[in-house]
Amino acid sequence: MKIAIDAREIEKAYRGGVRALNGVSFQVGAGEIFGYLGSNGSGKTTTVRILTTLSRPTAGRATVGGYDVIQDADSVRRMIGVTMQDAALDGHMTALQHLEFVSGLWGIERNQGRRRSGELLETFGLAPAARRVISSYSGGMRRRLDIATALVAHPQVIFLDEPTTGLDPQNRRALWGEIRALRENGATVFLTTQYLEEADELADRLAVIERGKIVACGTPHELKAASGRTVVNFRLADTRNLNALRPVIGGAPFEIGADGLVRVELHDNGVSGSSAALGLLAGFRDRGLEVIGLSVSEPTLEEAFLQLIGRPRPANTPSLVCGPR
Amino acid sequence: MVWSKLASDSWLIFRRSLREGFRNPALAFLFPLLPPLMGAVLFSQIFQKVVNLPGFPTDNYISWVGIGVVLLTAMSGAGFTATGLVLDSESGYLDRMRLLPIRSTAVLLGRLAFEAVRVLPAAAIVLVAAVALGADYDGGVLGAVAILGLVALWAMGWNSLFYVVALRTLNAQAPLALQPMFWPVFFFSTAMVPDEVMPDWIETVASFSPFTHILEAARMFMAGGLDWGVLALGLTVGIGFLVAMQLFAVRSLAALVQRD
Repeated sequence: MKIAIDAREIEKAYRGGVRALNGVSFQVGAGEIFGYLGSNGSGKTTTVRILTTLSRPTAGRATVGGYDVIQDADSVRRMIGVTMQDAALDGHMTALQHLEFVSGLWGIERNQGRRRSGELLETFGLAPAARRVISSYSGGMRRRLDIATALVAHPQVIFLDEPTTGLDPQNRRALWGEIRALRENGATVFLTTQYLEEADELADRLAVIERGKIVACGTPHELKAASGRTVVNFRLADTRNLNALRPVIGGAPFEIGADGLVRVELHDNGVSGSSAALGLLAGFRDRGLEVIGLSVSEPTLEEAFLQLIGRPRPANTPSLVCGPR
Repeated sequence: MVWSKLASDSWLIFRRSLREGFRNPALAFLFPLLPPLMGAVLFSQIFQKVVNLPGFPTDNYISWVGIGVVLLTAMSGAGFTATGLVLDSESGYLDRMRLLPIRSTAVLLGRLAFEAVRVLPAAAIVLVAAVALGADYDGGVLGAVAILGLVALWAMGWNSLFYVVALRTLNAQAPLALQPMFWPVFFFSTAMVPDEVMPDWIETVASFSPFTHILEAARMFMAGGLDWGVLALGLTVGIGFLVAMQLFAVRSLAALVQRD
């Protein structure tokens, strides 16, 4: 797989000694949506600023599209589109004026710039409001315009720093569709978010960053499996022969309620919660235990995340290297 | 190629500043006008007996101070686009500009061009007002154009200083705080009285002020004369001041990246 973003041992210390990043390494494959998940102040925006050439790392190196973010910053800028946390728009311009202005600064010829602006306004559902001043836009519209701005010059790598923060659920879902469409058009997307649901929905792979270190990385499924636990609840018709349960359940912790409800906690065993539950079910049948009710609760990414960032770690724990799939 | 891109980028940024100016006409166009206009009226009245000093070169005071208040328009209300620069930095707009394939010089030049343009209506009005109040004027149309050119030149140099302060402090109030600086510059020059009438030490300070030399070049056009030496000195110090301040401003903009 071609590598679109390659970050190696990036460190960033600000004046006054605040260390925002402590040796962050990861690779993002071309055409991937890479989720970068972390709570407030974990180092997400610092990472984006370094990868987009807005800030210099104190140590380490990074390339975007093969170009070094320090030595070849101009080349990096030509191939990326960026939206930062706050939509940077001039509220007094109309959306059309704004996009034409940005097209002009990209060096796009006037008529072509007008055409491209029209296309983008159409794509992002802003065409009816094209001639309204941006200050009259809702938060969702400003966000969409901000992303449209990042796409003016057909970037190959797109950085979205918390694009849906502050949006209502409807706008958030609409934006998810647009982010997926970016990948379908072949772009690589680096997406930071503090919403687990969002990372779960969109990201092909994700890294969890906590206090400037990557503490977990993998596909959303892998992360859930690695740190969450599946709970399977069985209801038995007859609760008298409970000893027959033990060999089936094996070493997994379980509890039996007075009402015959058996609650089994399954930790990562490489299979999904449902298939593990089916295995248990077959085992119970073999031993003549009649199951009359069954429910499976898979770990959510939220549980996985909270467990990951809540986990106490010695200060010298190194940052994980998040290689390509 | 590089130059045409720089010019077209500066033009786009100039147009944005122009739009900004039309949205804030009081701040953009009245601030350069009102204090100098008041200066023209008040100075010519309060100091009218100054002309009785032995050796004073003009018959009425407005004939002397008139060109000074015309040039005052270049400094009064300065920092309009410098404040905009700080606001752009706060909103992340400047980051967006930095991510575009444009030279940071264009970001400053576009704004600077607007600073030159926005003081011209004020300067023209104050010039007419000074003449209406009795100032001697023999410059004709060409003289007026030359005077406006010098006003624009000084406005660009003076505003460049505001960019440096704005970019170094990143405080939108800083350009505002810098505004009263035009008083010492105005008084430590030949704007109010000719150097023969000044105490020696003020004369010395004034002779080192670039403002004095631009002012004297403008005064020459007011009288309808042409002394290449005076003009060359005025242009040299005016352009020199502008280039020096711009270099500082561009460095300050670059330092923003390093500071991060």
